[in-house]
Amino acid sequence: MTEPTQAGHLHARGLPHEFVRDRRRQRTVLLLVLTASLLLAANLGAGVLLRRFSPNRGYRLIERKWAMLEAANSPLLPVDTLILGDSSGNQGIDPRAVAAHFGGRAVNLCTVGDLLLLNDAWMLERYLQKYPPPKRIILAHVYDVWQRRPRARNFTRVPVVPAVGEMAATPPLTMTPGERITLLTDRFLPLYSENESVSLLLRRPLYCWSSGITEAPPSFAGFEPRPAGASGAIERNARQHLHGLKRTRGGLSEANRAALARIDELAAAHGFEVYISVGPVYEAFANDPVYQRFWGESEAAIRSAVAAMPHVHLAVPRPTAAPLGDLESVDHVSEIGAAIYTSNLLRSITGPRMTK
Amino acid sequence: MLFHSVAFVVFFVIVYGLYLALQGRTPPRPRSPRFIAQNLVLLAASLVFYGWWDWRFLLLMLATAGVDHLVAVRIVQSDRASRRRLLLLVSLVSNLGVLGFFKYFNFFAESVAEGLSLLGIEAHPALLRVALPVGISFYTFQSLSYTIDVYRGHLRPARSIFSFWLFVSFFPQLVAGPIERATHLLPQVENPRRIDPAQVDLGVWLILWGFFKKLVVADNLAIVANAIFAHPERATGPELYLGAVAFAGQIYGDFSAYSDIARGLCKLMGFDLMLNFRIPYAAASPSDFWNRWHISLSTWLRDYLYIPLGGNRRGTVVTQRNLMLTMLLGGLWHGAAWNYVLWGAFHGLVLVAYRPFQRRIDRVAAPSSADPTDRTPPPGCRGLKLALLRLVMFHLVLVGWILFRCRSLQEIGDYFRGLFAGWSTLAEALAGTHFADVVFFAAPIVLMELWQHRTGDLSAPTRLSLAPRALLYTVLLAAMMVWGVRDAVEFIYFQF
Repeated sequence: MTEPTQAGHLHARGLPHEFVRDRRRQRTVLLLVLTASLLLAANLGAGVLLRRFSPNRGYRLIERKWAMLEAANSPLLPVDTLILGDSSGNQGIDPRAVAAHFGGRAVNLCTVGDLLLLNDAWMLERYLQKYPPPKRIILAHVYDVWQRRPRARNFTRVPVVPAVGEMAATPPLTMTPGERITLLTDRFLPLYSENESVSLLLRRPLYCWSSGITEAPPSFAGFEPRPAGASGAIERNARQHLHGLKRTRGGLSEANRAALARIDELAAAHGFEVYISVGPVYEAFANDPVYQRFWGESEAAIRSAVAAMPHVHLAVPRPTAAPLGDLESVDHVSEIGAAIYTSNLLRSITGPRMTK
Repeated sequence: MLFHSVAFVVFFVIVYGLYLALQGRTPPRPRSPRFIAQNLVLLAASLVFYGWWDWRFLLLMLATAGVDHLVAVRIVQSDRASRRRLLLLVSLVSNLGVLGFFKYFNFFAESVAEGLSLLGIEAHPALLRVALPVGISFYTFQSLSYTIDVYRGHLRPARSIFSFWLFVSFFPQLVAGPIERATHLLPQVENPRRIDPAQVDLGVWLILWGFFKKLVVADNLAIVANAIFAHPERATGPELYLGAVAFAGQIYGDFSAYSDIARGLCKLMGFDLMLNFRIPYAAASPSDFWNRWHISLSTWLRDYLYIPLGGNRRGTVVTQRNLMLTMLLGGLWHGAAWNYVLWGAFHGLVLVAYRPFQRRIDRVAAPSSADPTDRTPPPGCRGLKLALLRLVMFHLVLVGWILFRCRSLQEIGDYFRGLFAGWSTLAEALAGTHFADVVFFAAPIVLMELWQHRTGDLSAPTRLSLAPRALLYTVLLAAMMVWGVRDAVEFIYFQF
């Protein structure tokens, strides 16, 4: 295969060579130390950059809401009604309407579904450490959060979850040594853990800048409304959800059950009531038997758990069916849908048909 | 156990720790307990490394290597030429028999059945249902070169079976080369190594650059190449061209990465493995390409097949036959499939077609100076001709890669038909994500090799002073963190 020569060695006319340069051991060690330091600095820099410009909406949402809670002298806190939950609540429940309905003040501290109800319990505990208790809590979650189990790496941005040592908040997030290493990596090596955001910022800076995805959305006491989604995209989204549900059983995970019990315990200790609201879903999706089987299993488990919790009530016990025009995705309402969802929720809380 | 897996990192840290502990401040003396222990650690590590895939194939490797060692010892002891030839034949049959059985039995059985079915005869051959031992082609050729070299009198047999087992199974290069010659590696196995800080320095660079090429370049280009090669019938001409370029980058990035990491790991331990690549896509002629691509295999085939067949000493026709045979077997070495045979045949034809023009082409392709490190650009007209030759050679290599990558004759047909159609969509292809990805992920390797080519120095980055070098290393590590493909993808050449 090599150019045939009768000599037994490769003839290397014009070919590049490898040269070994004289080096002392100390120099190589210094090179490695300097490289490691620069890499650490690059990660720190990326962390600072991402706190301001991350295209990862989930991470930024968690940071914004925790920052609202932790802020000293926040003009929004304390409140009479505290809204906790996931992104369906973040863009679905308008605290201005809540405040107008109940009187007093309300704030929406909803984050993302992957933090489960654990984050609700931790936020509530932190709130009670800082402020007098609210009169009521609304827990707004999407239909498929209830059965989910915690994955440690989703909690990277939650400040009460320490990378090392035990958690002070209750219920604690239990992590295997591997998960703890992942959490450490995620928190201190953002070039690795937020690689897709970094890649987008580096490869498509103009898009990031012009599309505004790195900007915080308009917020009304924590409520972040979204425009209606394209019908085709919602239909596709529904098919994806149904595909996932085929292999998933509904229910209430141990972590969520523990978090709900903790919230009930805090309610009893501080004298307020907790109202659960399950967010609306797309009407065609709601009619699908796969979804109905899944939700049936989840609802039964939630009802059974809530029955033993005197301060927790099911305000909206099952997802209402919403038309395409009211939705941003299969289980997230648009700004128009948010007005309807909030109004239904408030009616349910004050109405006569409150269920356990 | 893949190099880019946590398991390997843990494995290597343990092995290297033990190795360094036994090395001490001064290298151990030959045959001292420290030296023997060091080799035993390496042998045990190599067996664990190989057994990680399938421990059953360990016995196969140790058995064939055992036969070779025994044969080599007997060859040296024998003073009769016929007996020596017979012993060599035993080694050839043992190695090629095992290789043929595991790698080629099904291929030949199916091919015969298909041939018979064309004649209207139905045949149902019994096919083997066994996995292919990883790296069998690599270690078989390595072991075979030992007995041939002993037979030729170029080498004395290994001092012990353990040394020879370590030579055959040495973990950094066991599964994907470089295919080492016993004349080069065996003395390093049998004598104490010195861990030279300069070699360690180069080794660190090779490991880092190897990981970058694998994780960032090859595995990302693979995403593009796989998408396009999956359905060539649906792609347009520009997309198919891009697919071929992406695969060219992927296979080079992947294979040269393995070689670099293997060589780098060896340098950390005081070993030296042969160079396997010398900027192959800068080749200006077919012979130039084979001086640069998979050098350990191409030189193996030259020394143990082409030259014994007569090389270029017996006239044009025999030379051309030898070239074709060598390349066909080189193709078949890669795998038991017709596309590899076609790939080998294509490169054989290219070499045959090139021979009549070799003097004229080499006048342009060879550098003006006798000094191999002199990279002065050739004067105007010759520079243009050289660039044109490189472009032509690169495209010939691309044709070869299409044959190599396609899985069937139908697919090859679809690919080449499609390549010449749909060029009106060029603007769309250039605006697409595939094009952006190929440019983005191929750019680092192109820039690095331009630097290496201009300086004639494959270790050019080690020329940098401390601060710029640390910056370069940081950029590579940061890029691996951001763009490194996370799901550990096997090296392509593991399958061979």
